[in-house]
Amino acid sequence: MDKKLTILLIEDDMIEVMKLNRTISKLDYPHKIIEANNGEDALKILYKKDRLPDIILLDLNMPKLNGIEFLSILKNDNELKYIPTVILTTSNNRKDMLECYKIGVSGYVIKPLKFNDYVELIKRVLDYWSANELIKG
Amino acid sequence: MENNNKVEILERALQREKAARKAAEKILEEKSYELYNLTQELKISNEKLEDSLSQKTSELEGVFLNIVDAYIVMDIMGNVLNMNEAAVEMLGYDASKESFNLTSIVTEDYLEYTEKAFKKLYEKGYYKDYQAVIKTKNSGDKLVQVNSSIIYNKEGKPIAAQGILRDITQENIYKELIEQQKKQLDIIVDHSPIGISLSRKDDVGLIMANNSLAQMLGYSHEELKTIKLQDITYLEDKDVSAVKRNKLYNNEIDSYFLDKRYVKKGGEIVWAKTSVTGVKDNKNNVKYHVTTIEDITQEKEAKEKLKDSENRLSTLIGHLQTGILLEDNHKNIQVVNKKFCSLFDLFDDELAIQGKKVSHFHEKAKHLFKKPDYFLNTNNLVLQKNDDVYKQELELNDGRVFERNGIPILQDGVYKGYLWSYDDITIGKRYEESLEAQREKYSSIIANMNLGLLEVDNNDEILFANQSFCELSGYSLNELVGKKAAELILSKESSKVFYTKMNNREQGISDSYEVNAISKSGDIKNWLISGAPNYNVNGEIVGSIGIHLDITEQKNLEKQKEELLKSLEKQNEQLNEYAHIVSHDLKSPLRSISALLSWTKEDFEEKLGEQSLVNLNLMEDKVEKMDKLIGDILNYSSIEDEGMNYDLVDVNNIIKDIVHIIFIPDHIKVVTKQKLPIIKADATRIQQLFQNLIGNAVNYIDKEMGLVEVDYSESEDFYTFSIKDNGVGIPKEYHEKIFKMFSTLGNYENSSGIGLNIVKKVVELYKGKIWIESEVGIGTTFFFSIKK
Repeated sequence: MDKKLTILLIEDDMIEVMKLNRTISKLDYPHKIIEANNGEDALKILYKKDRLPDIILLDLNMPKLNGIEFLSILKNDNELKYIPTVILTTSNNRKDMLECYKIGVSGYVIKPLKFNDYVELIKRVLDYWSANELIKG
Repeated sequence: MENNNKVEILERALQREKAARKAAEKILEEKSYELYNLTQELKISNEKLEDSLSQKTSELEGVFLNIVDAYIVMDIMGNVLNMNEAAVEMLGYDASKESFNLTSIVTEDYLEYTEKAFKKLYEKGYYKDYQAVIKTKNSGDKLVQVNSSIIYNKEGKPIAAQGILRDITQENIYKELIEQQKKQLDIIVDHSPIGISLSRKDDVGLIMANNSLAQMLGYSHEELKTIKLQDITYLEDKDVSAVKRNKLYNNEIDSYFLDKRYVKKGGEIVWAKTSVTGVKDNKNNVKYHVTTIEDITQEKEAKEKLKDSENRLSTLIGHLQTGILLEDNHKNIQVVNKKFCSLFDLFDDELAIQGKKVSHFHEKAKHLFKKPDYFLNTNNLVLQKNDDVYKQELELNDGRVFERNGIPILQDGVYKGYLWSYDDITIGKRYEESLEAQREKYSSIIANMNLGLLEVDNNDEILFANQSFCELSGYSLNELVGKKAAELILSKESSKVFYTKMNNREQGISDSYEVNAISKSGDIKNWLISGAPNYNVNGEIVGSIGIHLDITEQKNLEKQKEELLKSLEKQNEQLNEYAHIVSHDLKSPLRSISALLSWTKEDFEEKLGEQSLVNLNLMEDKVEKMDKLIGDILNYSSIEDEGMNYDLVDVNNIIKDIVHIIFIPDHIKVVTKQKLPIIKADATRIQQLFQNLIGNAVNYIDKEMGLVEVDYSESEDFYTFSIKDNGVGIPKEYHEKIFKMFSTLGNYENSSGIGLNIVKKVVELYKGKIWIESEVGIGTTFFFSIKK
């Protein structure tokens, strides 16, 4: 285990939030999860700028500010744009994927159906990012 | 001293003088003696002479009296001693009655001359042809000619002179007159523009030749004195000249005229009109001949040229492709040409009719015409008035049409004849008629066609519009003519386009273009205009002709189509979006359910009974199947032609990948029978294709040892792949049905019933076909083709 990550999870589905939390605890990782129900909430959190997250896990289909809209705002902000953002979605819409990479994402992960597969996937993503040198807010 | 010298000089001079005088005296003495002797001799001879003189005198006196001419004897001083009666009569003086001196009656003008004459007379002893005017006593001045001689005495001493006088006053006047006339004649001869020569028979050289002759022949007067005219006669003309000349000398003719050529000194040839007249002597023999020569070279040349041009003209007329008939002022046919004869075909040749009366031709020809009277009437009219005939058309019975023109030939206002020209204009006439028919045909087409036709001049002013154009524009023809087409009809935008095209048109470019036109009622219409420059007969652009097609409806349809396409595209996009949203919305709860199920199993593993655990597992399976179904539907809906890549795809790799991806139980083998091709296609689609088919094959194998074989064959346009399994096989009645949506055979849990649909759709994208061969219990082979 390398680093302790502060992860901003932007997700409107309660069970999805639970899945990530359960995954972290199941894996016994020290990472801290900040939850935001939608893009708007997430921006509020980020604009405080007292403690910026190390990475952002972003769902695309959300009410109010959706994932891509949030991503655009984020990448237009001179400070926030450095935060690596990984898309975590059920949609494998090619159009969305192209759009996300165009704006600038650090990963695009499709949520598998089975929870065990999900745990496995999240483990790999988090291991990767905790192995990386990150810009500390 | 000085005086002494002087005396000495004087003494010496005196002595010299004395000596000289003595010498002179001696010479004188000698001379005196000689003189004496001479005197003695003279005395003797004088006496002799006296004797002979008296003798001669007496002799002469006899002659003297018999002389008819005036005769005088005068002493040496000119005093007349004796004269005969004729002399008395001539001079009016009579020496026997009064003494007179000849010199005193000579007029003053002749005194000096007379003095000289006398001197000469004494020196030579005679003087011939002394001429002087003498004042006679009674009859005025006379011109007298005197031939005189000296009379000597016995001692040879001149003692007198005698002379014969002739009154030549009258003679002289004639002589002068003749002289004058001769001079005048000479002037005339010399200045005559006609060459004149005088020559004697057989003499070499001309006795006389004037300036003109010399000039004409290029020889000097001197040279002409050594030349015979016949010698410089041009070789070809020599014989004729000789014949004529001989006749003249043989007295057969008095004179002759001949046009002949001479060779000039410089070698050039001069044409001469010669006239030769014989000059006869007393015996009526021709001794001389006078030749007058007139240079007619230029006339000859002019004549030759005239002849040439006449020849050319007649050749021209002869070969003219127009029938020519020339009448003289007596209505005789002077000339017809070949074409004339061939046009009428009435005479064997030109000669058969030339010289005959023109009425002869009229009578023979009239039967050829459809309207003989018309033909004859014109002829008669021409006969009377000699008017021009202009483009008279004559129809012949054989269908030909002649056009004839006629003009009178006038010379200085005097009628000399009449010139007719006949042309066969049948072809032109027919051409004209057919042209007219064509024109009518096309104009009726133009008038009736649905295309608007507009003719404008170079200023874009409307000259003509057909009915269709009027209908298209809503304007009547009267409203259109004279207006500027673009200003009246086109929208502002289109006017700009139009004027650019107009410039093109001026450069002779034809093309088509679309404009917005505004009809009279204000409707905006779309017209397609095809414009072409309009040329006049001389090939100059005089305007343009435009064909107008109303394409408003087509344009509207086009617009509608475009709009439809756009909305279709939009809808497709929306649909696609919708599919994704739906799939997301469906998949999300499935994920939640799946997670919750797995947590329930995990958290309550020990509390759940075995049956509940089985049910939970079943639930998990159903959730999984549902998820696959949703994924397949989404896949199916996203198989579109659009967005397909055409890369080179190695099918071998695709198969390898699939074998890794899908679950293949140990007892089943997937093999490729040969190396598969590299095809041009979208790798994802091809993978979908094979993955579904191989997946199916694997799923339906019921044998202990499963075998899936992939193979292919190649034709000119297609690759045909086959996937063969040794599975359950498919009954024949299902061979079609399996490709329908949501149809599935057997109860395989992972089958959504969409897989083969996806396969078929992909194959069809590549313009291929899919079919199967199968035997129940033995196995199935799927074939599909893909266009290369």
